[in-house]
Amino acid sequence: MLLQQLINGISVGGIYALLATGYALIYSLLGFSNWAHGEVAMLGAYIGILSVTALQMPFIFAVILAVVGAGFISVFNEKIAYKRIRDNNSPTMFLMIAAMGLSTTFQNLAIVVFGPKFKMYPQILPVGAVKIGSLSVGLLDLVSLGIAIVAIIGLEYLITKTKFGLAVKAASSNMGTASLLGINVDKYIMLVFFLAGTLAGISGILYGMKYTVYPQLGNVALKAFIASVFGGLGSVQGAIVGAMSIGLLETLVSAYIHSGLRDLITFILLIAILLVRPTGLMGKDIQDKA
Amino acid sequence: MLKIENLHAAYGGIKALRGVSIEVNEGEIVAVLGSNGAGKSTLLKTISGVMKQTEGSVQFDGEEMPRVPYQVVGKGIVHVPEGRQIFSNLTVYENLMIGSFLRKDKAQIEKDLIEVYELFPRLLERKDQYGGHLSGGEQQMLAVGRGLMANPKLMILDEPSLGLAPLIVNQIFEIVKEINKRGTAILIVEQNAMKALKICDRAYLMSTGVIEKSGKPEDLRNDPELMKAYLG
Repeated sequence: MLLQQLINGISVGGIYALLATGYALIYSLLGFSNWAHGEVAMLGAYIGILSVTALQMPFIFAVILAVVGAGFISVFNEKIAYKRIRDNNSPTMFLMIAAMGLSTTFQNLAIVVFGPKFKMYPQILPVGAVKIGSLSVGLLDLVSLGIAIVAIIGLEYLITKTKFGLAVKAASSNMGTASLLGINVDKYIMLVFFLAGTLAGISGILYGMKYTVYPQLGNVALKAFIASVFGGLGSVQGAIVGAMSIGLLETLVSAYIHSGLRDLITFILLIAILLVRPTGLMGKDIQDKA
Repeated sequence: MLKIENLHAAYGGIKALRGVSIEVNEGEIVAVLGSNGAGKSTLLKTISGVMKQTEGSVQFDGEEMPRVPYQVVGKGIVHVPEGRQIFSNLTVYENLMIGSFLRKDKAQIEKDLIEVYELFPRLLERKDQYGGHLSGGEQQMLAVGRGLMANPKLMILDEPSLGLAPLIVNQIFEIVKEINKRGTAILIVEQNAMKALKICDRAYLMSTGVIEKSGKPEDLRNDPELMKAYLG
């Protein structure tokens, strides 16, 4: 029973991690909390579900459309709001306020366009559980975990092993100098928004399949935010660890204490970490000595 | 190779450059001297495209320079900015690799890396450390080494001696001379005028956005106006 709950928790954690890593990437680059990130996941979930139900598309095409669509919505946010604010040299606070505005706009737009009702993804995977010995684990949870792991490994590779990753790290450290040395910073910011958007899209679909799709689905980004703070703001590895921890914590609290206390305990964790260790678990603060 | 004509630039309404014309020829070390607020850094920023001029031209090898910083470095001018501006969360090696970001010639990049480590053995010792963990002098070496990794025809240096101990300053100036000997032209902006005059072939004296004087270092060294600019 416990092992089963743990797998369940990691699976939920994987969904959070997909959101939290993108959120952390944007934070590390631009130093603001992108509150519209959850709405990108929500819109991705809607694109997916409507492609399958209304347009009768094969599931795999619907997923691709949703993931790429979410990437473009994320880039749209950057182009229409954040880039302009940066170009005006406005304070970082303006970015966060713009993100809140986008978040509210998308949520209400979804209510108007898609309706306030909860929508169910049609049954794609056979319902049921996989039996491993005495364990029985939901098939969807396993698949979801697998997809999250593959996506996160891909992201890690991109950041630590490629020229793209080096450019993003340099830009997040010092944009002016990165640009002096040949990095087209605006291009890389756009690519990061696209990448973060696609991860959010995957997250939105998985979340929608596990639960339902509804206009406030984006609020799940709050969990990703807590995961990111818990792991260390701006750190991608930290976001993964944080997301897994929160997934586990929530599942265990629901299973063994009371499901009503789930969010309460998560938020207590947020307050505790801010008080005790504000840099988070893996937040590295490399201060300039000179 | 670098030809700047009648350059004007402003921060909002404040004019920082008012018709600056300077030249740097192949193989030269040229110094721009002047007190705080003379417009020296602005001049360099305008060359590298960080600032946009309101008037005038920046030509390099007969070609008008692009007005976007990330394109300027590809044309062969690298700007080593004031205050070193190390990527503190990147290792020394990664910092150097950013210097060669636009280059595709892998074999030559490897050779240049070895050469940078030869010039600055400290960087080799510390290649896996974070840039932010280096001392000020080491950071300046890293900033210069990172600039060299771009394989520039012209390196522009903004106050490389800023905040460094005299011994380190001498070391940095020696290396600047060495880099020049190996074929890179240098345009250096300095408040430490006497040091800069020791290594340069020509110098310009700048104040309040205009070039006041130019000439050989031996002529400028005893110039009363230079004294005035520095000592008041």
